[in-house]
Amino acid sequence: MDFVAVSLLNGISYGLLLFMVSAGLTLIFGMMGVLNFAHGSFYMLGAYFGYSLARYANFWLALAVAPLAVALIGAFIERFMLRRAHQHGHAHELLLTFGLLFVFEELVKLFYGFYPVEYRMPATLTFAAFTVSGIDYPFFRLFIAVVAVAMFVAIFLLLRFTRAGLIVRAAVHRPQMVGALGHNVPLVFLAVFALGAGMAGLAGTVAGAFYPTSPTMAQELGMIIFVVVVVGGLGSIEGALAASLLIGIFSSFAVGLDWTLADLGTPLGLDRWLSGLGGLLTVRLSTMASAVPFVLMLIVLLIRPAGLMGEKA
Amino acid sequence: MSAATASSTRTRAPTVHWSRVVLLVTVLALVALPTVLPHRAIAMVTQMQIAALFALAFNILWRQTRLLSFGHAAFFGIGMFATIHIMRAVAARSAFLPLPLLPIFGLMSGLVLGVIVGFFATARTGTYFAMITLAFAEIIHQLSPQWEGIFGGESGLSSMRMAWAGLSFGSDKEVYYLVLVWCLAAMATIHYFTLTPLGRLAFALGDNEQRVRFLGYNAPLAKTFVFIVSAMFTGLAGGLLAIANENVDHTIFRASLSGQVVIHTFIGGAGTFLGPIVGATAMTMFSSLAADLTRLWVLYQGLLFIAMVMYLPQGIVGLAVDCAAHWRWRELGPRLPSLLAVLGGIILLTAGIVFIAEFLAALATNPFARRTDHGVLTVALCGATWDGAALATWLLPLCSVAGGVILTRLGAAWLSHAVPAGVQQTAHG
Repeated sequence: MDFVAVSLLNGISYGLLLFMVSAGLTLIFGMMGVLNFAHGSFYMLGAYFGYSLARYANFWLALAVAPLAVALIGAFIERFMLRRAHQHGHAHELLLTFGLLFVFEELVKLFYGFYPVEYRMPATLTFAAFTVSGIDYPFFRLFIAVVAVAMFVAIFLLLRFTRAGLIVRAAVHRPQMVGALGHNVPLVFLAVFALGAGMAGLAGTVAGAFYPTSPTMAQELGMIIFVVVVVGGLGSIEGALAASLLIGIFSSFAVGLDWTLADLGTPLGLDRWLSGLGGLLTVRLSTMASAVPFVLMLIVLLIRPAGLMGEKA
Repeated sequence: MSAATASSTRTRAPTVHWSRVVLLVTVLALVALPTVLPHRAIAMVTQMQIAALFALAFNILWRQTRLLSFGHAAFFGIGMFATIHIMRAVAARSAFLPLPLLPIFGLMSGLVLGVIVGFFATARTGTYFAMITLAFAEIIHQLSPQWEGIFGGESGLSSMRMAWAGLSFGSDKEVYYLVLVWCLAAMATIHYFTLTPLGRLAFALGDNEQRVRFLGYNAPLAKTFVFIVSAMFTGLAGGLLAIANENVDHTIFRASLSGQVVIHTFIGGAGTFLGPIVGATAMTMFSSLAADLTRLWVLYQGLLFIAMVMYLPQGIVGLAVDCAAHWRWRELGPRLPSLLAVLGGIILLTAGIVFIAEFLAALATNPFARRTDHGVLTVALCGATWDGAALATWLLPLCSVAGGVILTRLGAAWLSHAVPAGVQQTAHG
């Protein structure tokens, strides 16, 4: 029971973190039709900016300033790079973000070196929230979840109840029509891109203090958030939330499961024979867990490309 | 990349004789190369050929059907592993096959995986196609370290080249010629493929799939076939690398290899047949040479790629084709000043950026190593010692960058004044 409770909590916390990053990605895709390969880089930049600011000032200042800095970088990329590549077509925008992924990783290596940096959570937040079967549950995991929920509520209110949110929601679905109605769609694109980058940056600033902060984090997380936005439905924020929680909870449970594919044969009495075949059949699910999200993504792409809650196919 | 570029390459029939001469000279040069090159360079040229074949095979999909795959490392890796397994069997005397024929197994394994992935992936287009190829590659990437029997676990698999018909395949030279023959044969086959009915249909699919459907073709099936051809030759390239390297491990499936072939192809020019060959050759050479000089070469490659996406989307060969199609030799004279301005601007810009990057890297990696008495940082770069606190150290490269940008822009503006509308259209199409 404790295993279930702790895994569930970990999963929700991780899932909410995934949502913080993927929300911007899915909004940007819905609006611009570009799957931003560099979105994981914004998360990484947030973590590294947070590390630098926390080192020379303090964590709370980092929490406020680092996401803003990342949002500014996002705005610059949209205004001066993506808009230029847009003339050549969608494929070129995709390739541009792909190149940015490489460049950001190399820049981080240039300034911070190849190895993970020591980005620690502040001492004031390093305490046990509660104790389960004698093991302290870190408060910081809850803190990550709280920040994510706060952000989700803010975004939801912004999109649902403000005039700007109305225009953004309209522009996600029918950008040309919104432009025809006299709204400044390029400005909306710029704002959403910067906002998405800033959210990813915020996620990085918060989560970087808990998870390792290293130059590979952009590519690792980038892959998972692709899975999230595809499974959730490209362009759908609610879908991204559902898929984030699904993947987060799955990843946290899978670590503790030692089923093998051969066990599937148990009801038929074939498990011994299957185990004898060896290979992938005897690999524990926990070690295959990293591949499962991609299998899920593949199934969604093949069966229901619109995803769980998307409307575009 | 554009329809205009693609059609301009197709209609350049009158210059075909010149290209034959160039082709013959290139082949002869490649045959003669090992006699003049030093030991290490031969191995490097072998790698360049394999990279060129990889990029060319990848670009069958991109150039003709406009399908951008982000998972080609899977086919390359599977080709490597298949060939290594056969090599091990030959070395263990449980199979009797001549070494020069072994890349066939790389090709066949690429074909088999291509059938599976292609069947699913070609059901979708655009971003969804890219995501499916990425998902397949990532599944293999995640599973391969677990499956020791086939992928050799953490340490990977290795084997050795067995002698055949008096050839020991012990020297770089023998491997070079083996790879050269296979690469030339494969490239010729791929070129021939673009001329076959299926190859032509692939172009049509890239231009307008709906129209192809209306004409009564089974578009998804045709795309699957093109995908399989691409996967097959990618597997062959992997097989050749397995023979050249004699070992392989699961990191070959990493996503950055899939990305690298995209970058190579784009820099060379994805809209042309020669583009991927030129791009992969140039970038492999660049990486091999630059890796000795600076650890920042991946950054420079990334910056070059971004600059090309933004300002030269047709790639190196695409630009050459555009120029060849629209420029006459006698027009070169009046254009020379503006061309030189562009060239000089690019050189200034590059020099400034490289200087700043190297300076920052030196500062960031050893902040205490070269601290002087005054407590300021100095870095030795380009044969001189630069003071990190001095204004000139930063002003000089920044001026170089700014001057480079201005010069390039001015040059490009003059150039487009003198150029007929046709070139402009192709350049931005």
